[in-house]
Amino acid sequence: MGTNTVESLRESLNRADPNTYPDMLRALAFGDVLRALPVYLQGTTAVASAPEQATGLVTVVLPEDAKAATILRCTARKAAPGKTGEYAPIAYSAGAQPATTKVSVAPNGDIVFFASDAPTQIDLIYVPQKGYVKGQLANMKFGVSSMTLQVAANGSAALPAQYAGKAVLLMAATINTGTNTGACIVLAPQSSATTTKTAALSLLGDAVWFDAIDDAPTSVTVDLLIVSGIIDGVDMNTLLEGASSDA
Amino acid sequence: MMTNESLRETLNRVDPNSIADVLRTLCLGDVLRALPVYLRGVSAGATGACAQQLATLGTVVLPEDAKAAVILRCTVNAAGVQTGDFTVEPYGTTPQTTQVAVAPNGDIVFLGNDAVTKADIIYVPQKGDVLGQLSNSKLGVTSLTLPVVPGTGKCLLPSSISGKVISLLQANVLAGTVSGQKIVLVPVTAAVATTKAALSVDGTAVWFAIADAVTSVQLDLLVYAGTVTGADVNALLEAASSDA
Repeated sequence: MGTNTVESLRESLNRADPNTYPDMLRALAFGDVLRALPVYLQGTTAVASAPEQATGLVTVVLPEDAKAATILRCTARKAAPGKTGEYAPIAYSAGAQPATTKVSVAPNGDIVFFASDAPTQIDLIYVPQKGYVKGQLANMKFGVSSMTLQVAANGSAALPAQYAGKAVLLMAATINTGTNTGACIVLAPQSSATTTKTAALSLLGDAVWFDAIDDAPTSVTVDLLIVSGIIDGVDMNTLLEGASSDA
Repeated sequence: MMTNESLRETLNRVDPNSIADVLRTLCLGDVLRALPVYLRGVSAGATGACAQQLATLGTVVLPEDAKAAVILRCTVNAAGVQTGDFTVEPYGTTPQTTQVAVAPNGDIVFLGNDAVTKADIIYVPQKGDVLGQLSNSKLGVTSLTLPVVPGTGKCLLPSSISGKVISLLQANVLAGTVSGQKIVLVPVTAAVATTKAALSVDGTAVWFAIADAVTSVQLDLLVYAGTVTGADVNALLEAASSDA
């Protein structure tokens, strides 16, 4: 007895029927697929005074649709004397920011170095985070989509229900009204209020924490990266495994 | 306010009338070539057989448009030592037994005594424009023949690529007291030992041994993507699209 088999979208793409492949690439959001491939930054520089980073660090500020998830390799061609060469990627955590000749993914997805290393020509290979930007994406036909949220007395700004639990990264946070206002340093996710002029995504990805005492914010604007598929339903992994309508 | 559509968003729309032009702009072949590579059942060859590596090493020689940047995993299925997953060492490290590393020129190397004859390797390639001996290249051989400053061992690179070189893929001495292929070392800031060559740390020169009295060399180099023929995909994906 024969077996009735179903062609997956992956297999349909392999066939690349000229009549249907644009439809398949559109279903996959092909631009987003390319944007999530490993990124080769060649000859880039780290800048001081990125408002989302702690003092003592310099930053390669990445676009909001290609913040870093993992650094694969980092080579400093030009830097402070004795600080050129290969830099070792290390995990970033509170109190363990990158030391000399180390490099890390910051809590907001930018790439950070020890400031005194002063790298000015850097070759980076990194894997980006993939998701939907609720923020200030350059050249975006949808325009700015940062979210303005209310903050509770305990310093917690709950995310709207459709995004609660689905936030991947807090990319930027600005206090609009409060005792202190302006951009906050972004910390690693945590489960309680932060200290002054800092902000952090909650561990569950359902809220953003601020300093409830000194900053006492009541209104904030946040830029977030949300899990892929939340807005338009495109989940490439599922699609590639699923049956193709072109079979 | 009128906002621009990025090339990423244009690609999401996949207009059948313009998709080919967009993919051409991105140099889609180069994009695919820079994806992680899955080598299955490759051999490290005979110890010392690769002219760009130390005599104690076995080498998986990679094509010049897909030299390795990072090894993600290496599983050895047949060797003269214990098989299984080998430990990945940092770039430029000389591997010891049951270790694997990216060599200074981007090939993948093992300790020769490990006699690796069948390995599965997943690696992320370096991305860039090849000035070298790319196989099946419609542009043909593009290796550079350059002079070396007498008495210094220093070969200055042309201004068009100076400071934009990622890797020295190979160095062949055409005229000098010790001619032929040189062992490629990790980037340096001064002349190297005899029979060796290395890119300068800032990518502006290639260093040879003063004792080798080199006067003319032929170099294969990998330079930043978009410097010669390719495209800077990262910049393009962020840029406004002409198809919007």
